[in-house]
Amino acid sequence: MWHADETSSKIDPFRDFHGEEASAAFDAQGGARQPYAPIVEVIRDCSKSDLCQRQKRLNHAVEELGLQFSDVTSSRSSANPWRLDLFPLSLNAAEWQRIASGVVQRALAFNAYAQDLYSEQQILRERVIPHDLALRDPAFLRPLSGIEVPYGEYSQFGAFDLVDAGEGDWRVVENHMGAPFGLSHVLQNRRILSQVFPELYERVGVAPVAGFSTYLLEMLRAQSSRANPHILLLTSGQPGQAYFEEAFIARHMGISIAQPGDLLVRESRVFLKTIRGLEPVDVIYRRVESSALDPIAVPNANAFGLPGLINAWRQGNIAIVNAPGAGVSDNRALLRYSDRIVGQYRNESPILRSVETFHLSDIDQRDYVQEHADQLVLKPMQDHDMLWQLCGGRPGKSAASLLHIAKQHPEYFVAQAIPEPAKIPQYRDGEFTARGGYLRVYYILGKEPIVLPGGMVQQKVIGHRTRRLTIATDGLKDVWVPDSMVQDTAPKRQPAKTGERFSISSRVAESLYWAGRYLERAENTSRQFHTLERLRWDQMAHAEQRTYWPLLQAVATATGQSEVTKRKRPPRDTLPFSRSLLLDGNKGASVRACIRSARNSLDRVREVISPECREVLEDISLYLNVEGKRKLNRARLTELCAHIVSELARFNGTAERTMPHDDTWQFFRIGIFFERAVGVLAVLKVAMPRLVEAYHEVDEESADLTALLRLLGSLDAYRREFRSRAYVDRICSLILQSKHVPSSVNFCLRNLDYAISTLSYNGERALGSDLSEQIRSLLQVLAIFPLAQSPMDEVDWLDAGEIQPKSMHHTAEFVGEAFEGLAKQVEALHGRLEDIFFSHQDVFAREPTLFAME
Amino acid sequence: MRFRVSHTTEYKYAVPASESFAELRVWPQANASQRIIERRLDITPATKVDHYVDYFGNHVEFFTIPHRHNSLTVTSETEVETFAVEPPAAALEISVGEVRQIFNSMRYQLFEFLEPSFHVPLNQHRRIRKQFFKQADSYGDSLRTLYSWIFENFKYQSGSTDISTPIADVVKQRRGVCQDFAHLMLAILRSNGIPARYVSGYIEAYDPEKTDASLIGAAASHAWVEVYLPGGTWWGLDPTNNQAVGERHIEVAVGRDYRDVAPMRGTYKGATDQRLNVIVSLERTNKAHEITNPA
Repeated sequence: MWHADETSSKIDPFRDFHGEEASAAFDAQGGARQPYAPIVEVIRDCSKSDLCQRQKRLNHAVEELGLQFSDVTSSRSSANPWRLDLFPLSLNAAEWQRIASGVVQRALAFNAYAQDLYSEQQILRERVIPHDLALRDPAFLRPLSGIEVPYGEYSQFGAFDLVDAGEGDWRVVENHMGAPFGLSHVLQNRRILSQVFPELYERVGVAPVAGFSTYLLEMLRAQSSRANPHILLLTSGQPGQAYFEEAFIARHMGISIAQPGDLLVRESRVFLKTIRGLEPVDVIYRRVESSALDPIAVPNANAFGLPGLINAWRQGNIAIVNAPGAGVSDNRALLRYSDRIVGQYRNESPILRSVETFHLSDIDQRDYVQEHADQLVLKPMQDHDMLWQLCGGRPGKSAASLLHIAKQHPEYFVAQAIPEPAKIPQYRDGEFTARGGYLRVYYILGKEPIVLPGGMVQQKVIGHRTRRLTIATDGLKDVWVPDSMVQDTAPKRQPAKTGERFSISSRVAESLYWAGRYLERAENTSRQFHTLERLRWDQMAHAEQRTYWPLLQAVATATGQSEVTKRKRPPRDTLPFSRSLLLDGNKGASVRACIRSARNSLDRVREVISPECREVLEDISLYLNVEGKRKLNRARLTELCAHIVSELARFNGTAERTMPHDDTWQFFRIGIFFERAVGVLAVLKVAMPRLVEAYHEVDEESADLTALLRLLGSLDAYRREFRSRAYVDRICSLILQSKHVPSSVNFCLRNLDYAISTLSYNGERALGSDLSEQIRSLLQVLAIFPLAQSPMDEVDWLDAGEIQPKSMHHTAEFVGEAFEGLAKQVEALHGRLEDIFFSHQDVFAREPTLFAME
Repeated sequence: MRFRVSHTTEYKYAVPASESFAELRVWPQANASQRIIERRLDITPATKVDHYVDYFGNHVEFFTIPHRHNSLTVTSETEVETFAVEPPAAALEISVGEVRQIFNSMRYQLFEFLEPSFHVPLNQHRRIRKQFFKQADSYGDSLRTLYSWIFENFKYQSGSTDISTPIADVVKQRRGVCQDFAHLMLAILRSNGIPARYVSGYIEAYDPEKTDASLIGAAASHAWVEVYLPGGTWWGLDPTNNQAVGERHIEVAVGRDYRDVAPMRGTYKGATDQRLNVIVSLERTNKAHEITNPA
């Protein structure tokens, strides 16, 4: 009996749709409609727990991806929720046919509008649409007028948001022709759903979406007449949804990703600054708002942009997709007139109508909106930074705040009567309920316009967004188009991975270089301070203190605290001074400031840093922030130093193990070795002359020289090498010339040279070769450094106590100058590194014509 | 009258600058009231200069200097002949009410010059703007009343403001420089529905033939406004000098406000420590004078 009971207790998951009125997926009798029948069938075959499991797996897969685009520094709960529903939207052939042709028609018409607005403005002259809504559009940037855009196609890649007003009557809610967002979600949604629920795809031929990034790349390549043009994606680089999508698309297309600061305009040509030099750029896939592209062409206090980019574009020396200014087609006030716009430019009747839209600058329309406020959605004319500036600030989260601004600036607002969308099933908590959604469909123009056979459904009502290039990711759906609708899905050719041909950008290299330097400096300071503290400074007699003071002075000087260098005697209490050395965030080179600078450098290039490394660095920053607020005694400070030293060792180990050892990595190492060499010399140039002076005066057991070795982490190495007391010349020889001791300048320089020699820059330009020569000649200087000469015979004499070592004849002044000179020569390498790899002054200096007229 | 104008902008950098890029609007217009006889532009360090015409019809020149440089000097030299052009009397005689009607029918063509712009917010200072442009008054008289009112109520004080000073502060302090008076006048004009635009240019500060006739705005770029007259002409008015624009004004660029006509806008990489020096010199090159003094 109970057996039979169990079978009959299998409840139809779609029981909510029984006896309901007709919806998109079911007819009035509760039967599944044609494009949905196979889906419903598959789902009915699944048990309740199976469905539940699948949704869990979907959530899990999406969550993992979501982590990539959330800000790691913020807490996980604030990460953008991204939920993918397991019931897709399915379109039948006729429906799709109509949508696709309507999308192309509309894209062409609104492109013609953009072209017209930036040139003759026929549509305004002929009074087809009111002039004020077009001319007052904050996206209409007059400095971009009169520039010829190839084929007049301002928006070659765009999207529209559609709503099914019932029975396949799709209407357009919004245009997204300036910078369409969400392609990465389309590709990911399909990938994840088909992995988690492959059975869904088995019975139906669904058109694939994966090829769309290839079509996009083909379109970008077609912008240039060159066989293999250099294409890059230009991003503002701000972390968040947009950056995740940009990194994803760039990776899919195999193109480089760059920020405005990575580029340089020279004689109206655009170059990418790379460690190989300046690489000419042919095509830019623009993801930066037009008004923030070029601060000279379009003055904008809030953006750096790339000065001169617009003029390079004006001269036809660079293709930009979408064209700067393309955003005028997204003006929501135009939606009311979309039929007229199609009529004006295509001379056709519209295939897709817009939802009813009112512009508040028109008094009659405003009155209507006031009377029907509860049925309308209020939106700004554009999701544009400039609009909020004109309105005196962004609205708060409440609807009232938006309404308040709209009342003061009605000319910048519209209201839309968005129809109730046709409902399809949505799975939540074990059941399917009816829910409407909004469909985003993408197009690519060019020789043969393409509409992506698929798209994305968002289930939230689309209100205004506080940031551009975002979507509500709660409740996304995959979108199915019948496979039969797609002819020739295979792209014509497999694109070359262009990204790999081009070198890492100078910005990335420079950030890693500085991160390496800052972390090494933090490590040096912590280690050295720790060593000194363990010598129990406080308990020393006054005379002893005097011999240690030069060492502390040396550490302080190396950390940039130059006021300490001049003091003859130690302050009575060194604790405040020690604290500032380690924790003062405002002192440029304190340990805390170094860690912060390193973090800032790495934050700017988060795409190349492994998450593991970022986590370690987060830990260290957090630790220092907490400790920085405490009152620390001497013991606590010493402990803190030891902790930082071991944490930084953890960072270096993690980096070594989790980051690819490519050019990026080498610049991190270049920074480390350069900083170490500079740091060692900074200690020596302050400590040595003072120690030599003291040596002359007190001539005693040279405890202070041992301390110096300890400070440089080389006492053990010294003992192995010399098995003797510490002498100035031997220390110099070890620290300057040893090939094996990690603190030796020789060791650092040779590692520097090696790191540079592994870089994959172009051989023909031989940029690094003269740098190598410079390093080798420095190694020569080290080899003959006067203080480091220690012929064995003299040492024998010395040990017999009969004669002073040679170096003791040098005056403190001579010693100081010798180290000062050496330090300067090593420091000069930084300028060369910068000129060659980062700022590219080297390239310019090589062109004598540029200097001829000076 | 014939003038030779030399406009030099010189930047000296404490630390060498690189990647300089700049756009210049220092090429005087050719129009009914002036003819360009000769023009040249010199940039040190030497570099290639490109050119385009912007939305408002101004000549824009631009250049890059990517390599390191300690200073940058831009010198624009123009020889120009100016003519006194009288505005059509009929356009000034009609009433304010009538011109408003005319402008209303032309809102599309005049849109930019009736709207607020970055430096010209509208509909502030109600009491001030309401005292001008009464419907029955003649258009010409109303315009003259306005520039005289600014001249009489505001003190010209060089250095008292900079380009970021808002009109509201100028109104409060009752002092400013030529660009403030131009922006203020634009705000009052546009708030009253009169289309008007900003003009950058030069003025001959001292009349060499008369000793007492000095004009304000010497040794630097000058600024004034142009109002639209029915019939399609723009009439220049100089509130700083309480007069309509004449032969001693040389027009360079026009736009909605200063932002559209900034003589030099640029960026460079390097320390922010820079010294700017602008030298404008203007002299008459009267041919007749040269001939009578062969010396």
